[in-house]
Amino acid sequence: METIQLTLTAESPLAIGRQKPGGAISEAQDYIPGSVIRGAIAGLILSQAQANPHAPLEGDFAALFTAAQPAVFTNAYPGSQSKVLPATALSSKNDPGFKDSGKDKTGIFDTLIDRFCSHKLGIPFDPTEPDGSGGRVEPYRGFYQPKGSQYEMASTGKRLLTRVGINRRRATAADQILYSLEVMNEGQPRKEQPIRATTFNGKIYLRDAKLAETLTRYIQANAHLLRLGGSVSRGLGRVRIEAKPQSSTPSSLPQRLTTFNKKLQERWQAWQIFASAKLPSDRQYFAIGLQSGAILRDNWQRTTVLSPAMLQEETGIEDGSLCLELAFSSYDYVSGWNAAWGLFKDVDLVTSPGSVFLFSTTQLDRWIPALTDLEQIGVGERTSEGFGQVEVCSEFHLHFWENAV
Amino acid sequence: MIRLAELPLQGRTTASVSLTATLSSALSVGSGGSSGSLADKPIVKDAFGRLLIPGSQLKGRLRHECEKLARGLGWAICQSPDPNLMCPKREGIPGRFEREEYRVAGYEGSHCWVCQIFGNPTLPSRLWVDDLVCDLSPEGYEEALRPGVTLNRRRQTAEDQRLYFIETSPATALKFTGSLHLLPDCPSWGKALILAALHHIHALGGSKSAGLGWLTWDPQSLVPLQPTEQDWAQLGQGGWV
Repeated sequence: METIQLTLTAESPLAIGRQKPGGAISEAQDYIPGSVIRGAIAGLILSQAQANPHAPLEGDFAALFTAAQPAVFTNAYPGSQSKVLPATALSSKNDPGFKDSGKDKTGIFDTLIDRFCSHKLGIPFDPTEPDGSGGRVEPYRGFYQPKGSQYEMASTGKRLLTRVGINRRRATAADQILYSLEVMNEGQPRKEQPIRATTFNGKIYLRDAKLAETLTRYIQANAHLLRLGGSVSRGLGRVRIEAKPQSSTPSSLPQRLTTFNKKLQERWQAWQIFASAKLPSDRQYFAIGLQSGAILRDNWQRTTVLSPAMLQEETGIEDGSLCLELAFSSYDYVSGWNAAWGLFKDVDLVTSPGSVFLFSTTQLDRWIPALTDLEQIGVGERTSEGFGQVEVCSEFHLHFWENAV
Repeated sequence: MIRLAELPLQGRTTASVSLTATLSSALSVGSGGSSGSLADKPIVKDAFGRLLIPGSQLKGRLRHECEKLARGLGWAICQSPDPNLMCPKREGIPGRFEREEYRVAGYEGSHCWVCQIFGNPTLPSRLWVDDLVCDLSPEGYEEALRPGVTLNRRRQTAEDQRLYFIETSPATALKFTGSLHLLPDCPSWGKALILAALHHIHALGGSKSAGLGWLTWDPQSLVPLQPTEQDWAQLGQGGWV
């Protein structure tokens, strides 16, 4: 699998709408969805290729967008190397956030492995603040990125742009054409430092190395013609896109799986002071965390849980020992606009980013190649638009209560 | 067959025109939704604190001027910005819209010449207008807060509750730069109409009639917009033909 690393720098506000509720305000997203990047590139290619409108959409276009295994455009999240915090991450209710972001903060910690132990042992698990004060904690959502040996939150600022139509005859504001657009800011203020341009990072995964090279060159040459989101003819949506091929490095997944299982066993031993029970010695564990919303269907019905049967079907591995131990998921709705159809996309139920599913199996070695592929291709439907991106055994699960970050 | 490597060679390219405007007076481009100022109408800035003239304002103003010019030449033009009065709906608007020049390949109905450049609810815009941004850093100038009051005409005194404050740029020759992008589908006579429209825009923003927002376009920046004789002739034949 070839990877193209995209760095998008906002040069004007981005009006990438999330939904249009009953009011006059169009809400802005917190990130650039993969479907927006994919649609913008496809739209640009089509507009340039219309010299011969009757030509069939074959060749590179088909390989990228309409083939059975098209290119995967992931969501572009703010910052660099940003990830979605897992649903099992908790922080103080009163003063949430990473330790580095404030003096009195007690940090963020993950509870997946602890919840597994408590669930298996039948012991209630009610975590409190890591400083031992007994303060309440609650799930903490958002994007995080590495900052030295620690982490920091990654986000974009937003603002409202108010617009009004002008009555041509009277040269005054026209009736009923006053509206506000919520947009992502093109700059991010920093403490005692100059404002920095807002950047986003995403990826494109392709199977064909030659096509990846061609697409990289095409994006580099035509980046100035791309606009993202709405109101692009009125100054919004300008981005500077840098595309560069990412050198293929050996996957760190085997190492992550080993560390995850080792920590899980250690944690299990620590829980033995409350109750004595043994873990099945032949079972090993892996956690699948959603890094973007996933559209999951089980037996033609919408669902928010990735079941063992679905995972086996997605990866093509038959494993009777596969078992879903825990699931932490929520749901949301998503729609969008398809420029090729000239119509909106159907509203889909999506399993929220950050959802975590913990599986166990007796045949972990068989799963390693499939899970490596899954981290690039994604799970569920519309994966080419960035839905269903996963991270297996995130290192964030190893930040326990006593070593909150 | 679409080959990415060959696409830029097919001649369907976007023409970008850099625009530079120099202020002759203070500028007042305000927004009721803005915050962080004591003024009733604060001046609009981008996230870096730089002054700007929004692309939406320049595009709207260009459209208005193009409508005036095209209508003056006898072309049937719809009535923006109300979507019901715009092409292709045009509820109750008289005019000879059913003509060959108003057909756009791939789109139903007829679209007047202004809509063919600026777009309408069914036809995407073939012109992209960027914000005009003043590159002067925010530390390099100070905004002016101008008080204003409405007079009671009968008593010639200040009207109750009609004291207001407008924030403006300093009255210096600030330069604002941005770009117009004519997409590959933009009609060739679009350049002629846009160039003529720019010559009609002498001021932008609020309180134009009170002396604010007057500007001049850099003649060099208008050079790439020079249309051909054929474009002028096509535009000039008017709607009477």
